[in-house]
Amino acid sequence: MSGGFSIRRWLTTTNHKEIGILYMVTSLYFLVFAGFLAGSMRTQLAFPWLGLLDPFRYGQTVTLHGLIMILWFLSPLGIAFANYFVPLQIGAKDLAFPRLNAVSYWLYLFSGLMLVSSVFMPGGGPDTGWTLYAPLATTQYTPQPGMTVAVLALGLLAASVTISSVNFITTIVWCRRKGMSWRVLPVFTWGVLATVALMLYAFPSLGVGIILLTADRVLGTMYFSSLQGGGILWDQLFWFFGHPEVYIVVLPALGVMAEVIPTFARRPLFGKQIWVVELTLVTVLSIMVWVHHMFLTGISFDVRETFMLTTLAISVPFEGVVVGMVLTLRKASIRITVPMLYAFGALFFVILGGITGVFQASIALDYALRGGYFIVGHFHYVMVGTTIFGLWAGLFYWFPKMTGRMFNEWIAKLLFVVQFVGFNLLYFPMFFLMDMPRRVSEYPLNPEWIPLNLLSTAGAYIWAPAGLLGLLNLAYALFKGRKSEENPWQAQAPEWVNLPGPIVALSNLNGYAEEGYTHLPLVASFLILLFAYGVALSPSLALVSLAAILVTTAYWFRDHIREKFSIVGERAAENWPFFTQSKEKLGVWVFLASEIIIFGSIISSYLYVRVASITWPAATQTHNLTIGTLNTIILLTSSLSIILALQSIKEGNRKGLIAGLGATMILGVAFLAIKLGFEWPELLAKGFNLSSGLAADTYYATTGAHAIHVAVGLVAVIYLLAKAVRGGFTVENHHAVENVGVYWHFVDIVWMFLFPLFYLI
Amino acid sequence: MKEKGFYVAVWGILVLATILEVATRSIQAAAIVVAFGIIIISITKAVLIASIYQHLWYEGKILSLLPAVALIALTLLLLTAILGVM
Repeated sequence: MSGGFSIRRWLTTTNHKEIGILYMVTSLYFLVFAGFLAGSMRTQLAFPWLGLLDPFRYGQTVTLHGLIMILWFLSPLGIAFANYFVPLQIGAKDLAFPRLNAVSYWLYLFSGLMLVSSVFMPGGGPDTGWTLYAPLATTQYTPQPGMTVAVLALGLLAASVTISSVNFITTIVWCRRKGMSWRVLPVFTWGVLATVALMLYAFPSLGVGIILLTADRVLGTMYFSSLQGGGILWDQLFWFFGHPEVYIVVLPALGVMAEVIPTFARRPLFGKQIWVVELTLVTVLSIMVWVHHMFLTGISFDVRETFMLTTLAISVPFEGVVVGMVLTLRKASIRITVPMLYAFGALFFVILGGITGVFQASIALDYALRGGYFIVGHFHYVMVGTTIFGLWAGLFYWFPKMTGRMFNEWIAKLLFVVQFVGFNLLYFPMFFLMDMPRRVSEYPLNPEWIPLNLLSTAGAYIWAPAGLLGLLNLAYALFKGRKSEENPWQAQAPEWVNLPGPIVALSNLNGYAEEGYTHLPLVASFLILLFAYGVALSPSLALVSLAAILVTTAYWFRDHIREKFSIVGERAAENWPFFTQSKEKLGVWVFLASEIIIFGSIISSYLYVRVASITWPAATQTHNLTIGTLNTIILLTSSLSIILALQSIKEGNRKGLIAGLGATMILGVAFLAIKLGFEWPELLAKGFNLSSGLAADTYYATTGAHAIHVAVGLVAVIYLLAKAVRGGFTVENHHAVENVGVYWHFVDIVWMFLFPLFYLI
Repeated sequence: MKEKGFYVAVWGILVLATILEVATRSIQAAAIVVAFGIIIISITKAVLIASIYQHLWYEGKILSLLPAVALIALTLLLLTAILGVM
């Protein structure tokens, strides 16, 4: 299948460079789509009296623009570069789990299309703003099914991002070539590592918000429509993800800038090791500042004050990151190339965006600024200016490496200047519109606001076409551009020095065998898409697609049993400090870290509504303690049986392995049968159902999520059993048993907390 | 066989801890004290499973960092959410 253009090949690829290109093209498509929406909004705001967009359509446009730009364009473009260049920079053959990488991409594409489709549902799509604030997002205020579709689209994206995070963390930690120690790791790869680490810990809380909002909208629970949960609970879950998301978007761009600036300043990055430490501090602190988005809510002042301090604190290492790049330019012999111009632009925007952001850390100032256009200007300077100009620097910097061709530099420089002017014209006037309310299509025709809005819209009409022409310049160069030198920038980064010549994805597969092509990621992702549509719109579609997903999983496992994708002789060269773990085991543990946040957030939501409730039914009144205790002992016994199965195969005892796995399967089925076949019907018969209040809502949602995890674990145990019966495990080769066991024990641990919380306390 | 016996012993401790957990519920003390006692037993059980059955005890401390960071982040979220409404 190598060589030439083939649609089938692009649909079945697992190659990191090809998937990087797919991410790039798709994210640019979403940029154009969301950019068109932005243009509509700016036109409406320039001439509000024309009524181009009525309030509902304007609300939908704002919502889709925000969601797509942040989650389907900015972040995925960074992931596109990460896909393409991280393996090249660290000397890996591919990502750690190439097929899962393909699943990530297809889920990303399908989730974006699903989001866009929400607009075409009866009653339209979401019009709540990208934050989907509750209770606005509940069926009481947004009854249209398009809202549910949009929420589930976000769920698919969260799944895609989690898989990507596990993949990249495992790759960077475990798959580095010999000599690629942490000290010499390229800064772009550091930026990606920081990004995916944040994704891993931040996205699960969004995932939980989506699960609970879907439960509210589809099943009728009341997490976000009750007084005890409501808007504040959504705010906590959303912004725990939402603020790190700002850094998730910006960090890859900072990584690109830290590659580009030293290259064209012809000096190493100033204080690289300290720069990395500061980047790490930014990453850690970014998950400790989310409450500054909630200063206007009625939560405790002490909590708000604490987060004011953490918000101020993060500016210190962040400035360190910026200053490191600025000091690299000191006394440097700078070459003004196109990538360098974009890096300069991004540097200018991150400084301006950062300075205007410091004001938001103050509770008092936030009261004045939160609802107006000052904050729109601020976050567009940070998220759009810094990120787009930073990633554009990467686009022009790596274009010759990716294609072997050179773009027209003169045109690119001219377009940079136009873009820079257009961008400032678009967003700088917003700092003077601090009293103008955002997210509304019409505003009082204040004589001071109209010219500023006109100016801003004029900027949009300059910046957007210049950006498009820049992309066309690259598209033209792809086919007609002159041949590039091997290292036209004289760059020192490993992807330039270690791999001379263009790395053209269309003709160079770089390592992985042709057997790496498979249709399973595409099929599985498409079925998951259908399942999501089913949950939102049609239970029968959900059931049929779930059955099809199980069949696809069986095919996936069949390939595993036949070891179709195993890589002979693969071993880590640089994997400090994970010497003793296989990459699969590391991947499982990284995944479990996100699972901890998922279950932790679900349990936190339960505790939150319980603390906020004046009364709560006693555990003994509702739940059968004998059944709860029995199920606890069943799960504990299943943990014993699976660890005994592992020990058996370590000792070469295949019968013991099969017996242990068989017992685990029977115990898992028994747990689910008791819960779903006996306990739940008994509770429902007593009137303890989803319309009986938050005690029932939290019980069914929390134990239901756990039951789904037990079911997933059972599927994995059945796979192990099938492979064990065929003699697929030996004394040396038993890692899959250990890895599934680690997951199974985790599910057991979760129950160790659910049992006391629901049956004893 | 030595390891298998050890795993069975751990299982025995976990079952006993579960019984102790249920029994703690009947102690005549303030509800908050009883709840605290039960949660401590639950945490002990979870640590035992993670350390012995998931092999975290033998894997080296660095692997524990992954769940530890998640737990720290989670504690921050939970404390902020609860303290925010108190």
